[in-house]
Amino acid sequence: MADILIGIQSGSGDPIFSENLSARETQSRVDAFSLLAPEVLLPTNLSGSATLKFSTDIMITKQLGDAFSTYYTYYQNVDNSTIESMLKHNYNMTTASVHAEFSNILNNITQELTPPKSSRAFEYDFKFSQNQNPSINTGSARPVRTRTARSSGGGGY
Amino acid sequence: MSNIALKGDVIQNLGEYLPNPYIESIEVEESSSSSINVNIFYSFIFLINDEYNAEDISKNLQDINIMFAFARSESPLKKQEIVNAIVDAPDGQGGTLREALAFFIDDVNFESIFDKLSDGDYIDDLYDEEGRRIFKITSQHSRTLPTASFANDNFYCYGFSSTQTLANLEANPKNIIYLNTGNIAYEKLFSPGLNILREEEVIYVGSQGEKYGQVPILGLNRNFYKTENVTREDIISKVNALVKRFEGRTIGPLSDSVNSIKTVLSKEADTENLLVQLDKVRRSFPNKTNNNRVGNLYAAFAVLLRNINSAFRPVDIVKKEKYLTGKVLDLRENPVAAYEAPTQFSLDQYIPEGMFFLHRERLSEDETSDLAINRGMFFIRYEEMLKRESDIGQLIDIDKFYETVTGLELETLKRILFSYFRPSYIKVQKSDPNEETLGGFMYSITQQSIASRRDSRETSYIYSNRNPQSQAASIDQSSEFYSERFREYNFGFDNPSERMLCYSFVDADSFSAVYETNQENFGMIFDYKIDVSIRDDTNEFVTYLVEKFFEVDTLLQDYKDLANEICSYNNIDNKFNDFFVKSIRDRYTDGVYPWEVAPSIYSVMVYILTEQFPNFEDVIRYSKNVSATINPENGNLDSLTNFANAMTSLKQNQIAILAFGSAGRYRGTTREYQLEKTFNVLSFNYSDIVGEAAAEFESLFRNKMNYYFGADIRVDGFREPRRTDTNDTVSSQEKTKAQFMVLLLEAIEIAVLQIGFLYAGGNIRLDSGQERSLGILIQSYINNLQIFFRDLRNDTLKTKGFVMFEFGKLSEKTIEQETIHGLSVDFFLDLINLYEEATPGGEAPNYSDVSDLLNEIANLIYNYYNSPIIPRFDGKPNLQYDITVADFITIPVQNDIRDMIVLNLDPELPVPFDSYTGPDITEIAGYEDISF
Repeated sequence: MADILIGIQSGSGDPIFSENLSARETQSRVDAFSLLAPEVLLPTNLSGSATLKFSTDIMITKQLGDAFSTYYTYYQNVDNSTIESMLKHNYNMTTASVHAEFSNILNNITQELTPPKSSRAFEYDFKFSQNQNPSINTGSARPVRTRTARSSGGGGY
Repeated sequence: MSNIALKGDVIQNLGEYLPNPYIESIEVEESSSSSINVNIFYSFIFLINDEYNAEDISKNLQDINIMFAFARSESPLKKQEIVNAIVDAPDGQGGTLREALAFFIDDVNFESIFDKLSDGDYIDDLYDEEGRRIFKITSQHSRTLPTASFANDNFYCYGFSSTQTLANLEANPKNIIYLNTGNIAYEKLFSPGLNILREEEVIYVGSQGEKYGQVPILGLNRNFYKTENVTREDIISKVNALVKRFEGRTIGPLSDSVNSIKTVLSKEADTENLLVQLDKVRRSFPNKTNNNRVGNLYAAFAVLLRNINSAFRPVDIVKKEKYLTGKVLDLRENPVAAYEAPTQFSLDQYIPEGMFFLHRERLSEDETSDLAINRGMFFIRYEEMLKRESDIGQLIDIDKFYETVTGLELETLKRILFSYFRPSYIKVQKSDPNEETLGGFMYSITQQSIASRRDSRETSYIYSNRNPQSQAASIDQSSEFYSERFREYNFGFDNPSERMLCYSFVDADSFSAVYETNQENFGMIFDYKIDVSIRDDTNEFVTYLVEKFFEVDTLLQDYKDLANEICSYNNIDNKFNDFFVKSIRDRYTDGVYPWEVAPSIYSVMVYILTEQFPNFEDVIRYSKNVSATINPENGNLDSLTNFANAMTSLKQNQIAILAFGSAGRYRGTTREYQLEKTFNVLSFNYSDIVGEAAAEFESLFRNKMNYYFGADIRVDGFREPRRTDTNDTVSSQEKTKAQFMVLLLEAIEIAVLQIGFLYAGGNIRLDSGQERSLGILIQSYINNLQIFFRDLRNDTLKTKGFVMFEFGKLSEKTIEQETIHGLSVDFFLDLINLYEEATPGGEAPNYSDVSDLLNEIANLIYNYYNSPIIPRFDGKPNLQYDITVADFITIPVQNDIRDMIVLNLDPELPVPFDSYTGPDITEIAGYEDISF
C-alpha cells in the first residue's frame, strides 16, 4: 500500500499525502493517472497551443520498504521525450509568440468584457411598470442570466 | 438617423388614454459627496395627421400632470406598488413604505413644453413603421437625490402622467389614483454601489424586429406567439368550459385530471407556458380510451388543445432575444483609486524541506562490489516564487491578473509569465559528513539552461561531478541510471492550484555493506544541498503591458477625435450619425475596435493596479457598460469624451507609476535560493544488505588463502599440488588476507635489511627523502608483481576456471621466470643505488646472493593468487580479493618498512583497494557448474 502525494500546505510547504487508501484504491488511482496520458499532449500537437493542456506528468507515491525505511517512487504517464516537449511548451516562448498569444488573450478578454454583438438595441426603448391590465403590457420579459444572480430588469404589466 | 423611428404597438407605447412620458436619457452628475444630480430628458410623442395643430397638443397637455418618482427595489415596482407609495405620504398615512423604498416623487413643472410648442421647438417629421406621422416634444426635469438612502440597492426612476396633481393623488383612494394615472415608464438609475450599468435583458421580437412587450404563449410546436389572435382569456375560457362538463360528478381519476387542469389554469395563466403545461396534463391522463368519463375528457381536451394550437398564426410568431437597455449617462467625475503595489510576503522556503524526498537502494549483492544509489525528488514553489519575488510580482498582483482570464487562456497567460522567469541553474550536491576531510562533496549534479533565450530552455544540459577521493561512484553512459541522473517534470497541484518545478535525481556511492550496516544512527547520513538560480526577465513583460496600454489609448483617442468632428454626431442628443456609425467600423479592418478593446484594457488595468473593483464581476459590468455607452451605435459623444479622459488619467497616473517601477528594474535579474537537508536514510532493501555485509565480513576478515610454506611444490594442470622431490601431496595453511600481508611485509623487511647488511654491514642511514624513495621503490616492486600474477590469475579463471595455474616451483623457480627476474633485478639495482646514495663506499653484493630473498617475495604473491578456491561461509565461491600495498594500512604490525610504504602511499593503485577485479562470475570458465 502506498500513499499518494496529493497536495502541499500552502504556508509551510509540507507535503500532503493521501491516507487510508486501500491497495486497490491506490492502484486504481495510479491506473487512472496513467490513462490521462492521451489527453496530455502529443508531440505533433506542439505547434497548436489550442490542444495543449498544462498537465502533470508525474505522480509520486510513498511506501515503506524493509526495516521501516521510506521508499518514494513515481509514475509517469508520458515518455521522456514528451515530458521534454511539454516543458519546452510550458516554459519557453519567443517574444513574438508572447505578443501573439497575449493579443489573443486580450481579444478574448475584450469579448467577455464587451456587450454581445448579437444584442439588439432599440432606438426607442419603451419600458413600463407591470400593470393590472395585461393588454397594455410593454417592456422586456425577464432578466438575462449573468455571472452573478440579480433580478433587475424587465417591465411587464 | 432614419425617420422611421417607432416600431411595435405604437398606441400602447405612446399611451392609449393618457400620454406616456418617454424617458430619452438621464444624466447623472455629482452634486456633493453625499448627493447626486439627476437630469431626466423626457418626451411626449403623439400620432398626428398631416393637418395637425400644435395648439391642440398644447391643450391636451394642459389637462394632465407629469410626475417623476424614484425608489429602491430589487426589480422595477409594479404600478400598484407605486400607487401604494404615493398614498403613503408622510403627512397622510405615515410614510413607512416611502421610507422603506427611499421613495421620492416630484410634481413636474413642464411650462417649458408649452414654450417649445409655441416656439415650434419640436419634431414632427418622424413616422412609425405603418407610415403614421409622429410628433415629438422634449423637456427636462432635474432632481437632487441623497445617495446614502440607496447606495447599496438597485434604484429606479419612474415617470407617468395623471389627470390629478400630486397633492390630489396623495389624498385620494388607491383605486382612484390607479385609474387616473397612465402607464408608468421606468429606467434603472443605479445598481448597488451607485454603479450605472447598461444591462442585457430578454425580450420577444416580432418578424419586423419590433419589441413585443407582452408575454407571448409558447405553442405546442415550440414557437412563441403573440396573444392577439389567440388570447389567454380565450384559452382559459374554453378550457374552463370543457372542464365544467366533467367536474363534480365523481371522485377518483376524473376529478384528479380535472384538478390538474384547473391548477395549470391558475398557476400558468400569465406565463408563456400556459398551453404547454396544459398539454403536459393531457399526456399524463391515466386513461386515454374513449369509453369512460376520463377517456371522454381526454379526447375532448386533446381536440381542444389541438384546435387552440392550430389557431396560432405564423405572422404572430415572436422570437426570444437579448437586448441592451440603459439610458443613463454617467457624467460624474469618478477618479480611479490610487495605484497600490501588491503586498507580498516571502515564503520561508521556496524549496520546501518537507518536499525533498530521498530513498536509498542497495544495488550490489555480494562482497565483490559495493554500489548503492540514492533517488531524490525535490520541488521548487516556482509559481509562488513568481508571485512573490519576481519583478512583475512586486508591481502587479498576479492572482488578480490570473482572474482576468479563464480556462486555456489562463494556462497561456501562465506560460507567458513563466517564459520570463526561468530556472537557469540547478545544482544538487551530496556529501557524507565523515568525508569532509577528503574534500567535502561526494557528488554533484547540475542542470543549466540558456536562460537568456526564452525560446530555448535546454532541460537536458546536465553534467555531474564526482570527487574521486570519496566513496562517490560514477554513473556512466552504460548504466541504466544514466538517463535518470537528473530529470525535470511538469508538475502542479490542482487544489490549491500551484505550479511547481519537480526534479528527480539519482546518485551513486560505494560504501561497503559492512560500513552501511554498522552506522551509529542506524541509517546512512548524507548532507544534500540544492542551489537554484532563476533568471527574472518579467520586467520586460511589464514594459510590454505598458506599451500595449499606450497603443490602445492611441487607438481610443483617435476614435474620439473622429467622433468629435462636427459632422459625426447629432448636436441635440450627442448620438452618432448613421454615416459615422457605418464608416467608423470600416476603419478598423482588423476587427479591433477601440470602443471594445479600450474599456477592456482600462478596466483590467484598473483591477490589477488598484482596489477600485472589489471583484472581477464588477470589472465585467463596468467594461460592458462603458463599451455600450461609447460604441458608435448606442453611445454618445459625452460618454466617449468622459472615458477618453479617464484613459488619459490612468495613463498619466497609475500606468505611469507602473512604467516608472518597471524602468527602475533590470532585465535578467538572478534570484538564488538554497536548501540544505541532512538525511538519515536506510535502504529500502535493507534485508539484502545484511547478507551482503556478512559476505564482506567473511571476505575481509575470514577470507582465506592456502599458504604452501617451506615446500618446493609443482603444479601440474588440474592435479593437486605435490612436492617436487617426493611427489607427495602437500598440506597448506589457511591464511587471511591480513595474515598474508604480514608474511609479505616480513619477507620484504628481511630482503631489504639483508641487502643493506651485505652492502654496509647494517650501517645504512636513510634521511627522510631516502626513506620516502625506499617506500616508493618497494611499492613499485610489489605493484608490478601484483599486476603480473593478477593477470595470470584472471587468464586462468577465464580459460580454465577455478584451478591452480601451472608455473614451476613455488620456492625456487619462480624467480627464474623472465618477467619476475627482470622486476627483481631492477628492484635490487635500484635498492643498491639508494644505499650508495645514503651511505657511499659500501660493497654491493651479487644479485645471486640475494635472489632467494626476492624470490620469497615473488613466491608469496604468486602463492596468493594461485590459491585454489575456498568456499565461502554460505557456500558461494569466494572470489579472491586483490591485494595492494594499501592493504599494509590495515595490518596489525608496525615497523619502519611498513611506515615507509604507508606514509608515502601512491593513491594511484593498480587496482582499487579491497576489491575483486577479476573476471565477472559469468566470465569464469565453467561457472554454470558452480552452485549459487
